[in-house]
Amino acid sequence: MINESSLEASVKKAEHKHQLDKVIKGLFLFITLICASVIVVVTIFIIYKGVLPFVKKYTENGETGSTSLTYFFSGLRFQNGFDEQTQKFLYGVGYLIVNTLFINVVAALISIPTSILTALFIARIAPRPLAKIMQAGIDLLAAIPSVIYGVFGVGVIIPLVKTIARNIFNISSASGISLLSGAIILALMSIPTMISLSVTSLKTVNEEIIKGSLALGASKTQTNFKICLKGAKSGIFAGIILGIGRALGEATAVSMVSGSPTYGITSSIFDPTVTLTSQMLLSLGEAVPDSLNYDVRFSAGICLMAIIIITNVILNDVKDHISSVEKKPLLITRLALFLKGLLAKISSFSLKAFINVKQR
Amino acid sequence: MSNKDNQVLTDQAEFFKRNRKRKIKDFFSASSTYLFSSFSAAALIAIVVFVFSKGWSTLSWDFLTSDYEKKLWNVETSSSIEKTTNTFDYSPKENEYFSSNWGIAFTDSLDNESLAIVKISYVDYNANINGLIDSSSQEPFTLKEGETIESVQLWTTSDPNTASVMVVSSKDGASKMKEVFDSCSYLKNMTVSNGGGGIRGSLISTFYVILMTMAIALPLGIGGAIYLGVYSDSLKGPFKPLAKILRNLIDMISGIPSIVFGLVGGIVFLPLVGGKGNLISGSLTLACMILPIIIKATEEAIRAIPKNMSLASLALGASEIQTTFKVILPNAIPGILTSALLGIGRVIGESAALIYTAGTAIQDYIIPTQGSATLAVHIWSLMSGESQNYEASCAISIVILFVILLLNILIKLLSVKINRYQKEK
Repeated sequence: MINESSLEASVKKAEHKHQLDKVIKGLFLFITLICASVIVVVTIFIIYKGVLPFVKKYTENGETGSTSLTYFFSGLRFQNGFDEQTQKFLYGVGYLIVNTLFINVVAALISIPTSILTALFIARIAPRPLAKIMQAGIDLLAAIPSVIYGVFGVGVIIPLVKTIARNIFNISSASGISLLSGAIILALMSIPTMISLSVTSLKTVNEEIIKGSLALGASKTQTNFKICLKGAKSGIFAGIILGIGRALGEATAVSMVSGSPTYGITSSIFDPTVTLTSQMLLSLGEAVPDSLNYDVRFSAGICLMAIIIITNVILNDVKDHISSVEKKPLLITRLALFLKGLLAKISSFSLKAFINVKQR
Repeated sequence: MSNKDNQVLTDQAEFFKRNRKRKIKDFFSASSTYLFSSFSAAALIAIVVFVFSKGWSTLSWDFLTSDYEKKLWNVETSSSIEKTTNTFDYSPKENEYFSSNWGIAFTDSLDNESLAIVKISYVDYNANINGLIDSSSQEPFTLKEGETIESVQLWTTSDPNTASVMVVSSKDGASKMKEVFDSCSYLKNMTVSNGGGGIRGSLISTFYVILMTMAIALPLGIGGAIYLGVYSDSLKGPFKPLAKILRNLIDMISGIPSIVFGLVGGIVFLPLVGGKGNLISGSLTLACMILPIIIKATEEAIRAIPKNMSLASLALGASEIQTTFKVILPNAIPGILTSALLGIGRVIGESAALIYTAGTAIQDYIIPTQGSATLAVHIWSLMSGESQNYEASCAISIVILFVILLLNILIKLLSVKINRYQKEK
């Protein structure tokens, strides 16, 4: 009797516990959903606010109108007033995209070879204590905030670029505040990320392959370059993708060293330049939330996100292409093949239709 | 026979030739690695050397604890202040310039922004200069040692018609100031200042931002990590891909540039509190930014706990919550701490997102509902103004670097604890 009642009580207790379990589980799921919704909210707001300037009518400086979409992509000045004829505000962002790509390509040209060779040195060539010290230093540098890189750029890189431009390239007007300075800072910022991922993947290269290469008579350097680098290329590429991603989204350091010209595509690496991110930071104090000047920055934000996503897709595709054994074809080739097939299908279909018509 | 010999000889020659070629090629490839790695090492050393060489002299306790805004006083004389012939008991010291007829000594010094200033190092209690009046409050003002003389206007005689006016300011140096004081007999007015250029306010606001960000991000992040690490494996049926989708969505957050977070935070969180930037909306934005870091590190720590520990707990009759809170969470504490430290490192260095959401004004008295610059934004404000102030920015950089080094060491120490179960295997 007593046993039964206590059994009943314990069953009840267990049931109660089980229900509580479910509630808590639901709570944790809810929290996770909140965390995951951040990306959704950001995307929705960026797209909503970024499209708004082209749809809604804003009033600025006594004029009312929306923003011209053609000038947005073709204009060479971020803020070019109001066009009376079409009743549209002129905000240009297209040239910023070009500048952003330009500065990042220069940065990648500096950072990629440097980080690959440094990673090779750390992983394969350097004596162990030196490699350990360098590794620790690079771990620390990956954590240095971008403003400090900016301060370093203003204090060291700008004067350096200035003297190089004046004395070697004979550009007497160079002030050092230039695309090259920005690119060097971006390269320096992305190098630690690239190196640490490359070193990790270089260390996981199968030791037997390396020994096999050496046994076949290849020299140490040949093995390092032709076996280790090839074996680690997928990890190295992952590092490059992360590093370039960091460089593309960087704002404060670039705005500190690259200047703020008001218009135009930068043609020389010794000229000052303004990128998407630095333009988004520029004269923010004057922009009030919900004004056109503020909302256009969201449109620039869409362009920035688009560049980052497209770059990521392309680089990941190249990574898959070179690191797969059976040489998975590039996205472009696949796309071309798909289009070719489509064209062939359409032409054969129309041919059939044509023949059908003729036969009738 | 000789033909064969010749063949061997040419083969050998060919081999040596190739070997030499290979050696030259190897030499160039090997030296390229040395060159590039020394280049990156040099660049990385240069950053640290630059920051320390420029900032070390500015960094002091005074720099850390004083206000950014200078305290300024305009003081003038009641008509009676003239130089005196009183005797002063002043014992001369090195690098001090004593004006024997005013009873005041000056030294050259540097302020927190490394600009030359003149400080008062001694005021004799007999001196008439003690009878100054504060221009705004009309109350007596006593000069104190350690205060800075910004500028002084002295007259050669007290009669305004015949007097010639002498003005010296802080940048003229202490010896010039002493000369002018000695040559004049009537003090008209002067500006005295104290402190200024310090980073106390920015330090405190950084501290506030870290606290608020962690208070928001840690519960959310840990909750998310528990779900993904503990419960998501038991998802069944149509909900099976949910865990992967959630994980991918959270991973994608870390791909958004901070400036975009700033833009969105500026329109989502700013209206909640109001104003042109405040610490609360800044912290909310940063909390969203560091969520993926916290979730990832915590989930990793949860997964590093051996499965049989939680199974044992369940087998002993503990419910799932009890297992989660009494077995998994206590064991994941090193991982949670690591995630918090990683998050703090990110928050300390963040500037772009805070420029939008917390403003760039450097404040001395911090109120969470008002905007204030953190250390990183403080650097940005100092560097993006018209006159760039390397010394102070580098001194702040040293502070940030020091904190980051500390965080890195702590994370290294904690990682041993997180992986302690792996070693036992």
